[in-house]
Amino acid sequence: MPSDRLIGEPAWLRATAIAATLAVITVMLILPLAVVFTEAAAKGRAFLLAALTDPDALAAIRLSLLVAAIVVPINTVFGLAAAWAVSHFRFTGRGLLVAVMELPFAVSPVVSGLIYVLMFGLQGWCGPWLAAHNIHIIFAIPGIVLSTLFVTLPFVARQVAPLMQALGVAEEEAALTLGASPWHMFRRVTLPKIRWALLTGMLLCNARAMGEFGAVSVVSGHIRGLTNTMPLHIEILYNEYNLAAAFGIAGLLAAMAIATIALRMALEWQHHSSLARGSAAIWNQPV
Amino acid sequence: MTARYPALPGFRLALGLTLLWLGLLVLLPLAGLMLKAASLSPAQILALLATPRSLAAFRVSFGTAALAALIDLPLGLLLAWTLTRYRFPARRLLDALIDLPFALPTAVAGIALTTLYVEDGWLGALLAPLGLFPAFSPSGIVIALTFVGLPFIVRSVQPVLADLHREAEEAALTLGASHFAIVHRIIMPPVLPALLTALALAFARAVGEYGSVIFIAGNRPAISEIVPLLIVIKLEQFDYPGAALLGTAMLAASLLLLLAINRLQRWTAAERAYAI
Amino acid sequence: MIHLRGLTKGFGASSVLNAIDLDIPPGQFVALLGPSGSGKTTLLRILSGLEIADTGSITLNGHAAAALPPGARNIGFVFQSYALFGHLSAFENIAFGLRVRPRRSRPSEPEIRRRVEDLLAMVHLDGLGPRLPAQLSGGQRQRIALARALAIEPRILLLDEPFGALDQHVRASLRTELRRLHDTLGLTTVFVTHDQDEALELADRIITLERGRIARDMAPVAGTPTRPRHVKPDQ
Repeated sequence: MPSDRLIGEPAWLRATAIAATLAVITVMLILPLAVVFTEAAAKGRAFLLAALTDPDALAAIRLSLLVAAIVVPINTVFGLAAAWAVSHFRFTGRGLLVAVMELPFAVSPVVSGLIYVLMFGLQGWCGPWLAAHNIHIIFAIPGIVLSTLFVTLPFVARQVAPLMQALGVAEEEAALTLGASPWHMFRRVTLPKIRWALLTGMLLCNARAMGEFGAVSVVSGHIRGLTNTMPLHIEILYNEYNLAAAFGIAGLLAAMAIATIALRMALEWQHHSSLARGSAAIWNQPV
Repeated sequence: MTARYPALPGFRLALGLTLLWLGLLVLLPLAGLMLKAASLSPAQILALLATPRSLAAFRVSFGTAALAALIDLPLGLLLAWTLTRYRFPARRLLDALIDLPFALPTAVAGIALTTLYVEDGWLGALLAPLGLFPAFSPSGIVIALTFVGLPFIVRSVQPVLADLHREAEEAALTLGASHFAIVHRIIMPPVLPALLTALALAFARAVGEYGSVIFIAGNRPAISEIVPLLIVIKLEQFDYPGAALLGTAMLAASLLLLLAINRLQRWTAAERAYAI
Repeated sequence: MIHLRGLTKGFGASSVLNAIDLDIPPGQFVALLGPSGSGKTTLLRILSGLEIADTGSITLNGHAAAALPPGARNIGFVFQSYALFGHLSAFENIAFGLRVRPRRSRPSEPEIRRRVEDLLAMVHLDGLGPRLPAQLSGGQRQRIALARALAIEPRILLLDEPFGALDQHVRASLRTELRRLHDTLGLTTVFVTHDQDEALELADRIITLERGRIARDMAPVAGTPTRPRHVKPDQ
């Protein structure tokens, strides 16, 4: 809960701080958001609609959705497994495991894509083998999925694990004594306990999966209509000086970002008691 | 909380799945990266890293990131302070907006910021008469990185400020402490480690940032070209070893920063534990 | 019948339980007394299967049980923190043990309903079935926890300082109910507490643990009333 103002703090100081805050937020955050929607609408509604229903644009939207649809479930399942292992058990290498899980956040997006090109690209480690078997990973959808998996890896685990740790296992133990099988216990007791943190994690994972640019840019090959996600398509349109169309697609993503923030805010407001914000050291990172 | 739960099921399965996931997605490709870079002789490594273009790119990447983080520091502090300690209309909404740079795709931020700061953009038009043309220059990079890094500062400091007990400040007041003394002796000590952590986090993120930057940067070699872009260029030229080298250098920087951040977070947590 | 032989348990360097030998005949109400760190909770958890002893054997009703998981031992466990499932109603909490049974041994829906209602009545919480744990008082929650443990029709009931967080008044009435249930259902009960008076009032037998060993074992003496004195015999 926010603590009240320092007693005796001069009112003018407070007013100045608030005004300055409003100014900073407006200039740094609100204006960029506003310009997206303004530029998108610059050429009128008909143009915008045409831009959004253009075949290449639709293909980009479909691809972004497809990638998210693959990546979010995978990272959710494995994230849950990782959170379970890390929260309730002590084993050698636990700290290292947590650190490795955090790596995708620390690594530049371009490097995140680079590592897969080095693995699966023509001159990469598996390149010749893949070429011989006519399997395309780089410059094709599998590569995009892989690099997106990498950059969104930690989201679910880092939301769920602190909560699991904070809530303890008494309820799980109770379920066991009542005869529940391990799977039953996890499904009926653990998952409901953490569902809001899980949802938040999946939400953030989705936002990043759809919005990732650097990593996907490296592995994609930028083939129009085939291997362009929405962010890549924005880049193409922008470089062609088709600003209204570029901002049109950007507007879609910006709307998704706003929805993500709003949902997250709603989730935290409703269930703040069941969402542990900021717990154990290495998990105390934003997003 | 530190007890072991030998009867709690699922450890082997969970650990196995986790190792598979991390091994295939993270460890293997990263190993591939480092091996590729290691396939060069030390002489080649030096030659590749020490070119004027590479050195300049490192200067640009790290320099702009550092500057942006330092600019974010007072701004973030101001925001965290005001949002935590004062009440005013739309406070909750504005607080939620802080997460925008986290949630907004980098490409969207990139083109939005560029459009804002070009000569005829909303803000660029205000700055041009002053002789300031941030777009397509290193200044543009700093602006973009400031946008990207702001939430790190705010979100790291807010919990610390929120935890502070008003009673401690009131007690200090009754003991005759001035406002400055209160800020200096009671508020800053727990905030400082959180600030440093946030600084490191913002810096680490900014150093590797790509999408927000390449639209506004101008990307002129040796002037406004960042290391990630150089990596992309090398890949397009099929210079895999060169790209791998730069990538490994970035990875090393990331790891070092991660280590520093970890230490700082432990310090932060320890300080918070002492704040009653 | 519970037989424990040579039970030892250590955590890291410290030894929590040291070669415990114990026999508990059916129907006995045992209080495990002792200061914190004496190992009484650990002993209880080992009995239930939530912890595994380093050495020693456990025999429950003639079967070797040390390798049995908690769910297979048919032992009811009431936790100190109640450990109710927060997202389930009181009714569903109690029904849990019946619902997770494998299909062939699972009672029908009407049967589950009947049993849960009976249990709610047994703990004097009729009509509170639809409530969520958050909507119940501490004493009510503990009674739900009790009913939940009894739903699986255990022969043995284990309780880990179940009344710790409750006020005097509630504790007194819960104690009475617990003893009544024990007598009515013919359970073997092991009850961990650090409150001597509580132990004296409730138990047929008081075992005191000190630093992992049995320090005192007050076996029931013939002629001593096995019921708390203030409870009338026909209740």
